[in-house]
Amino acid sequence: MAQGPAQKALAYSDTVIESKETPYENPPLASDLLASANGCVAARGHYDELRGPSAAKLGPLTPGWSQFFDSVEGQSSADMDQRAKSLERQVRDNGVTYNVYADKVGPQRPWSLDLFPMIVDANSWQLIEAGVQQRMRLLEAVMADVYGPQTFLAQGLLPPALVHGHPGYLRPMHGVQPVGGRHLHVAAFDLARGPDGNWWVLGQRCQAPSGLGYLLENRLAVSRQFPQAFQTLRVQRLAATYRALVDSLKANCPPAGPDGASAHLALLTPGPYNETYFEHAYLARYLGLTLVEGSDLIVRDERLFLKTLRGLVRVHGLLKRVDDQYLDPLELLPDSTLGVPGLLQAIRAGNVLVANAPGSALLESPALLGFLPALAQHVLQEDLLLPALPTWWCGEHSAMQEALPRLSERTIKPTYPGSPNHGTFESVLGHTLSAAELQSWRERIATQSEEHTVQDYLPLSQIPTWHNTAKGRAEGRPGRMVARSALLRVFAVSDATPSPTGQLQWRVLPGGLARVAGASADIASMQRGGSSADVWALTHGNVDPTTLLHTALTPAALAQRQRLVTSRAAENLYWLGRYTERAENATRLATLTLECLGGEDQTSPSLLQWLNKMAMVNTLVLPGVPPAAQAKRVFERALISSLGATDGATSVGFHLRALKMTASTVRERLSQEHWSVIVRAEEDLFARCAKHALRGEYSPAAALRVLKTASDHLASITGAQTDRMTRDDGWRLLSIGRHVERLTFLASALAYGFEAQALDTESGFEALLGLFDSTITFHALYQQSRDVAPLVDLLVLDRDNPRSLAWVAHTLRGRLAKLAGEAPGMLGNMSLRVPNPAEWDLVTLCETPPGSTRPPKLMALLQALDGAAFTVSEDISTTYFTHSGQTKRSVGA
Amino acid sequence: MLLLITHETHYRYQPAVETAQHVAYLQPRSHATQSLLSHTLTISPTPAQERHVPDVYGNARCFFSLQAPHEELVVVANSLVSTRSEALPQSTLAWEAGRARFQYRAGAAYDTAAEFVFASPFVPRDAEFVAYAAPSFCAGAGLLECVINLMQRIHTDFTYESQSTQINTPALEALAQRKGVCQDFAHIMLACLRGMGQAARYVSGYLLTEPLPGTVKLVGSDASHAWVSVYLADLPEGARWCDFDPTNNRWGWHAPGADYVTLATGRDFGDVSPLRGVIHGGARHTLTVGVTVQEVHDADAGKAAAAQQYTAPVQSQSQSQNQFPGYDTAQHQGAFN
Repeated sequence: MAQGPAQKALAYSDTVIESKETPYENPPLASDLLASANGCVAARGHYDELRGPSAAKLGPLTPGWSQFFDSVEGQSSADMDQRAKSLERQVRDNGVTYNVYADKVGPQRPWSLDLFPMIVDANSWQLIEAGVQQRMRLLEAVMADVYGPQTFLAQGLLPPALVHGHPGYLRPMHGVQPVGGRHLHVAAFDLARGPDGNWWVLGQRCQAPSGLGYLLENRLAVSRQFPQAFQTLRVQRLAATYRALVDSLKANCPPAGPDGASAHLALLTPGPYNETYFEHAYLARYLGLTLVEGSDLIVRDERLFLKTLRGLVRVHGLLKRVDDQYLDPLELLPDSTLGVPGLLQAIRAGNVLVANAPGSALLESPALLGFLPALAQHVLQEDLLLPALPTWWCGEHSAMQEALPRLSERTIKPTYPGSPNHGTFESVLGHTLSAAELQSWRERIATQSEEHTVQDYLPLSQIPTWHNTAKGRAEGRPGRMVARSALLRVFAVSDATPSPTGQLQWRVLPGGLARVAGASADIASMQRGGSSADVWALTHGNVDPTTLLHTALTPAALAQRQRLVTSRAAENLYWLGRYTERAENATRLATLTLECLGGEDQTSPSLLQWLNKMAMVNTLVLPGVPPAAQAKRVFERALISSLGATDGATSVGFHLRALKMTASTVRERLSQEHWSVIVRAEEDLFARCAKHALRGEYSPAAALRVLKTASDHLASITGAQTDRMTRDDGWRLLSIGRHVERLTFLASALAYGFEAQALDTESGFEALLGLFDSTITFHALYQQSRDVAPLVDLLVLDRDNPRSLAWVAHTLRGRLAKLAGEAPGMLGNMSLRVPNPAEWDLVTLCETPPGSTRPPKLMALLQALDGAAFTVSEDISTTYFTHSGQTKRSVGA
Repeated sequence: MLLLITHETHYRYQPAVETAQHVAYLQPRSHATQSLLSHTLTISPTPAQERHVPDVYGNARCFFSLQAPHEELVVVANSLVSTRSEALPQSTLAWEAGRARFQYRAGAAYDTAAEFVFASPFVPRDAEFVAYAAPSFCAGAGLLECVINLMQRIHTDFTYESQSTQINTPALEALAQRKGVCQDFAHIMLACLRGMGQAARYVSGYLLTEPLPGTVKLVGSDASHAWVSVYLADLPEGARWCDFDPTNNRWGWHAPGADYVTLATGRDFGDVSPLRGVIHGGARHTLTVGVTVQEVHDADAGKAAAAQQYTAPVQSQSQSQNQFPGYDTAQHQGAFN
């Protein structure tokens, strides 16, 4: 299986906010939502989103919230609990996850989403929209200047410490005019509403902001819970803005070709171990971009190409979710495995659009906020419509003098967040510090002034959230409404249509991601257990009817995307096929073994020996477990306890987990249903095995029920694979993976069956039929016969039985030929490595010398088939996956 | 002086490298006391693509890529430069005034040398450097005398030990050990100067060495060298950088002397490493670097020698010296953090 590179965590947020638990709690009136709302009051000093500026306790709700509650069908707490549960289920079923610790073993946590949206009234939204657009124009001007003439530095409008002194200032990008003429295509702004109801900017993300995928998922899930309210409130739709982004990226790409071919856009992800990988895959699917990792790409002659099964395919634009420093090991961090060597040369040559242009990390410094008002005057001759919280960069002596005296009421933030060479630290709230601590901070700031930025502290507005049992509410008690502090993250994306005056334009996504603080948490960061809420931006105007689902994709775009199978995706799909088949085989074998061990009849020794052998070679039990023939119960228990084990044994659980891991790397190629059932299969098995293990219960009956469910899930997965995937080369490799696995499993099962003489007894005969999933067919054809010839006919030669070796070999030969691009009916070298079923003959295969129970020709064929499976797998690796496996390394002299 | 430099880098890979991309900083700069008379860069095998693009500091930079499997890479730079020495000029700038120049005040004049005041990947900011530098920076003292004093202290306090550090030895560690190679001394001195608020940059180059009396100079016996350049704001515009070599206790205007050749300048080693690259394949490799600096007396003969195309690796007499003594290739991997 392809191994993903080690990942670096992308900081989601370091914004410090504080939340206080509502000081008192009104007992909710069980049947009345409004009563619950009446009991939900923002903490003192925080703006109350439910009631607005009046701030009167138990004052009237805002028109928006009034309308919202009026439109909710089912007003009891139980109804709300029901909705909260359904929402949770939906998030889980959709597999929305957030990798808490960005490493291989770290847990994937379901995304946390609150039931209620954050409602932003139309007037507020108008201001936010205009303010964010204005800030985008300004930030673009800053980028153009610091990577160009540097007049802002020359005029003392920006300190060099925030440009040349910032680790995110990329010298290789100096003097580069990005293709399409703009640096910034996507940016996020963290906004907060102060006690007086005014909106403030706390910070901005300009490198690779997270959230555009999660917020879509939030919207789908929450609007489904409140369809009536969603309509009534005139909530603005999101789809048109996403479409505008894709259109803008395409319009700004270098020319794709003389024939007006569509530009090829890809989304560059650090890979499945990144904490926000879910949304990379989700966004790629939604926007119709090819999801790629650095190792999928290569630069030739200053052009960027994707490595696919069919060779190199040009890429014209990259929406990147990899931090700047990791983009190109040749010119930036040499040990980065996430980037593409030569990418910066391709960018400088104007041969690829990268959004955003590398080098924008310096815009993320909180220190910059303090310089923007003067820059706005200088560049735009305007005041900023949406102010930032007062911010002092301590590197300027006069600013430090202003900031220090009232440090206890402010927040101390690192000027260069995340850079160990530049004194990074966790942001701290002044009012949480003791006098002695404050003094030591003052001294630290005075000596390393440039590294410190001080910002005013703002108590955040509080939104209503629904707390049910899942959120710590005691079992059996109805949920209630609780006020929680929230930060609003809004997004601006580039808009290809120029303004009437010919200036670059950005659109603000009418919605966003609200990040909600926990009861005790100071920091609303997804890494620290905060939650999220959908954001409903209201409008006075018309609601854009563009719908969310895939209308943005043209058939041409779809066709192009389906043809492209990256070498890495190809390898993972191949293994997806193999793991699916292995999981099925293990399930069938474990089921069969448990049934035989628990059967009423005395199990024949030869059958036991065969099952034992099969369990051992497939590691359904660990080596060292006594043979079933000697200690039936011990063996049975070992088999059951290994079902959900991942340490050593490779039983059903191990394969289901491997299946899920592999599927997650090609997540964007799987249908929602396909992915959901993979997740469910794995979770269900592990949950139930853990429960049984906890109780010390190893009953075969319970284990068989677990296996039955696993088998049902696997049948759905198989269905999705055969019925719901486009039959491109990627699918072909998946199918080849399954057939390679099936070939080796069945051939060895049959060979061991003959070796153990298991066919000599009725139970052994039946067991073998069961393992080949051919019991019904056999008895329909041959009734109660137990002769070897009909068995060989059905399990080896029958070309209509999808479990027969002939069928598997035949299919494999055909798929391999098609993958290799052979003309119809022609077989290539790889196909010819698989024995040709047309040459097999029943009589010859069944010939058995007197006194022997093993037909030698058949045994030889079985061995040849097993060998062919191995050789074909090797061939596929070297032919199709080699470039994905090569390691890059940096050298220097 | 007329100096002829041959700088040969030889990689051997096992198994073969499939594709590779490199960037070379091997062409000497020209400046007030140094002129580049001729330069050839020979790469074998012949690259699929080769591009010469100056970097942001005006250094000559060559990108090249190889797209066919190869088991060896040989890069030979032949350069002929003429140099002269110029003694340090008069400077009366107090070090505190030098520092104040780079302290930001809204609307104040901006000096482009500010770029070299900040920490860089190999030159972190740390109180240890400030503590070491402080005795050289007496209140009110002239910056020039402070720098000379600092350089001489490093020269005296530190032991030159070729095997003592790795290429990615943090400057802080070398400071604690009081030993290292020229590159470590340069990084330490840079960290001290920047810690005191001064603009200082890294110079990569060569130094002509004399053979021991009675012996013949061996080809390839020289090495790359590194030293420090400091900004003195009261000197005439365009001629404000003075060079200091803590390894050899030498200094001068534009260069420490006529026996020095400036290759490239940057914030630290990472900006101007002579040859770096990213290779696919080639799990194991060995690297040999040979540098020869020799004085020639006839410019035309020197030019002819410099223009000589690479034929075969200078094997037999080569001292097989790594570019920076003690840095083997394994240590080069993941050098910059």
